[in-house]
Amino acid sequence: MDIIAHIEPFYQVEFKDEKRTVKNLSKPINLNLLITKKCNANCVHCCASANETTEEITLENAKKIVDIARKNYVFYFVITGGEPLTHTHFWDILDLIKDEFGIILNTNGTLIDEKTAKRLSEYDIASIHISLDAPNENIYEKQRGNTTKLSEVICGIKNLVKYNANVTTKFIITNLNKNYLEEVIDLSESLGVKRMSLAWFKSVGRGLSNEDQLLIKGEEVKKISEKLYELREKHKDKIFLSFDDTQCFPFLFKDIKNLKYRKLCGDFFFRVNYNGDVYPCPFMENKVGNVLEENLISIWNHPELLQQRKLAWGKNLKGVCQDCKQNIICAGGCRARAISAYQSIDQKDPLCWVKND
Amino acid sequence: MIERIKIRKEEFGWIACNINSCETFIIDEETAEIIKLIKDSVQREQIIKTISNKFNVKEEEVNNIIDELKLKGWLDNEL
Repeated sequence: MDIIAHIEPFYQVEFKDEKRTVKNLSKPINLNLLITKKCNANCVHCCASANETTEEITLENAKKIVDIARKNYVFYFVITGGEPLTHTHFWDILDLIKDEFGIILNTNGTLIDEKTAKRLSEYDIASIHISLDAPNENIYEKQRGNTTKLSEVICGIKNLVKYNANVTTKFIITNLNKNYLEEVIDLSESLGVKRMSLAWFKSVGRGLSNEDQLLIKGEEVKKISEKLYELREKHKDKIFLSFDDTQCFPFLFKDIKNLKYRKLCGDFFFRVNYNGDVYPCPFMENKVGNVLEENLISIWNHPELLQQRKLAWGKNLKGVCQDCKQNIICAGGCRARAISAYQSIDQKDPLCWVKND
Repeated sequence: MIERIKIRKEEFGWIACNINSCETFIIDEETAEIIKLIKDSVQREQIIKTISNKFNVKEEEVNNIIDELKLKGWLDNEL
């Protein structure tokens, strides 16, 4: 009886003999829970349009959502905002979740003093994702406004590392910081961070109105992607670089023969807002239900989510993606960016350089 | 550590999540049963006897499996 052989990482798509098998979930594995729209920073690329309102989840609704998650065998929560640490009941919400669910926390890191870091480290948080995408205060201010400082982020990371918390730095690649990738990788390494996650800017939320100064497109995406591939290899002994936007990265295409599995964006979770409203992912603005008013499984099977899942499996794509050989891997790229650029979910990701219109 | 493992059944089989790391795995039905049994048990001796009887395997083999699960980080060292 060989148990270990039967414990395999879960991926939605498996490739074997040039065929693709898709594993469809009956309900989400995790809930991406936006607990507040409040934030002490004012990022130009904020997908949540934080601070446009200051609304936040009530403790009563948080309890209801945790109950719903429990009944539906959800495995873990991604706690996000706004800045989650500004929520009056932040610690109460963590207390509701900690015993039965895994936790991933998204934060800008500026409010993590030593006492807060110590307290966070006691919660068995799987990963504390901290935004770190500028090498100096000047770039930081251009990207995140002047209400917070890079030095505060660095201090927050140092405090967490001191208490052995699992920190992942998050880098959103924009026109403002695209030339500083390696400097920030070096900075993360010097702070003792073992994992860094990178993603391309998406023109949603506040980012849409700042698109002209932030968005990178076409051949430049390719050039930076190739640089990232090199950096991943160069730094692999010190820090693991992961990519949220796997669809667009050439290393996937380079490794295509060795690719066995692919994880799908938006196919194992959905976004739940402070008021229970559900969205397919943090970057899509089409509401598909409300968990406080409707059955979670009914929402999971909403026609728009089913359509999105089929697209994520590389089916039913239109335009240049339709006959593209890469679509089995990239599935057309980010659906939120396709909607933002073409107002259509089944068109190509505008960042794609593989085949231009 | 086993208290931090959550499992659920899907159409294509069982999946399990180590909620300390949020990593999710596919497990077979037998493994799911064993995890359930371990969760319901309190002591290593009891677990070994129960699993050994239920699956008709030697206690020594179950002992090895528990050691493997510990190495994988699914069970705590006190078990």
